[in-house]
Amino acid sequence: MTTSHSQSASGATPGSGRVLALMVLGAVLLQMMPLASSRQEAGKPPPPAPRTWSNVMYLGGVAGIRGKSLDWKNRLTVSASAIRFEGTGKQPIRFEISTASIRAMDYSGHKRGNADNGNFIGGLAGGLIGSSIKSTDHYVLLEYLLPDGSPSAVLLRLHKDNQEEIIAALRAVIPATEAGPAR
Amino acid sequence: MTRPAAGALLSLMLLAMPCVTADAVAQEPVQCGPEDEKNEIVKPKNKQTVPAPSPGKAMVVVMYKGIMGKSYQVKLSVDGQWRAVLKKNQFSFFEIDPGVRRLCWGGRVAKRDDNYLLLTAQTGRTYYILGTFRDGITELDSKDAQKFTSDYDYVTFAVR
Repeated sequence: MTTSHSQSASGATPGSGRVLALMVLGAVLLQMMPLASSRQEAGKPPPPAPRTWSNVMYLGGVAGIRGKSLDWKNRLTVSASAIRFEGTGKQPIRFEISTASIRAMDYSGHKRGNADNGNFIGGLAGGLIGSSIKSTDHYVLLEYLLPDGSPSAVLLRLHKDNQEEIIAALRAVIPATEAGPAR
Repeated sequence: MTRPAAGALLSLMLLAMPCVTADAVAQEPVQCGPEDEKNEIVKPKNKQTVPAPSPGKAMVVVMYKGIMGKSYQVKLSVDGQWRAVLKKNQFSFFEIDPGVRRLCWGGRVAKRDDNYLLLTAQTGRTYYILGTFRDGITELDSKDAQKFTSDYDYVTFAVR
């Protein structure tokens, strides 16, 4: 009885005490959550600043755009939100792809030279002058989804002087779990 | 093995090394058709007009604008399979599935980046591809393409 009395005096039953404790704990946790999330935001690296390169060729793929742009004066801008291509010439090709829509990236380095055609004599001649490889062509293929969910892709040729920077920039902005392995 | 013979063999191996390594690392961005496939061009007797694609398909029309002199076989592959084989001033057409298609221009043409073309094919559409000896392949609009298809001969091909 005493116990019962004292409980009624405080205005709380054993069950309501537990509820009160849980409410206090919940309130404390709720207070801490924005703090934790803001700490996470602070720890997250800021999105990379947009960068632009010339010396990029467009080899087709973008839905609704006809032709290619094989001029090295084309410009490619990579930002956190989009990849923008600006062609040159009389009818310049221009397009923009949202980085969020990109599903895979594939790099390929195609080496050309005396041995490119499997020519043994060419390989021997190349060996005599020190190397059979004259140059490497750098290509990047981006697979992405159109607004209706259907697949599309774009094939770009990069220059030897910018290919590493562009690949790194693309890797930084493309959703990490979706990017394909570099070859 | 005598010492000069062993030296000669070693020299030959060293000279051939770049050939082997270059082939091992070479990667094309778009796979062409099989290199060892031999094809024969077939000329139908009747003049052919380009039909509309079947339901659920897209159509590719390919034309080869050759240069003066002897004409050699050129080929267009889609996703690693030869789909058209032509000589100069000939055209062909075939259906493809919608989606991203990887085109490669091969045969007796120089290996260069103009030989690759990506196409996002849409159902019911017709894509006109012009191939040249020097400048690879590119897509034309239907108006420009009709000039070629009206003058050129329609051909198909068979695998030998």
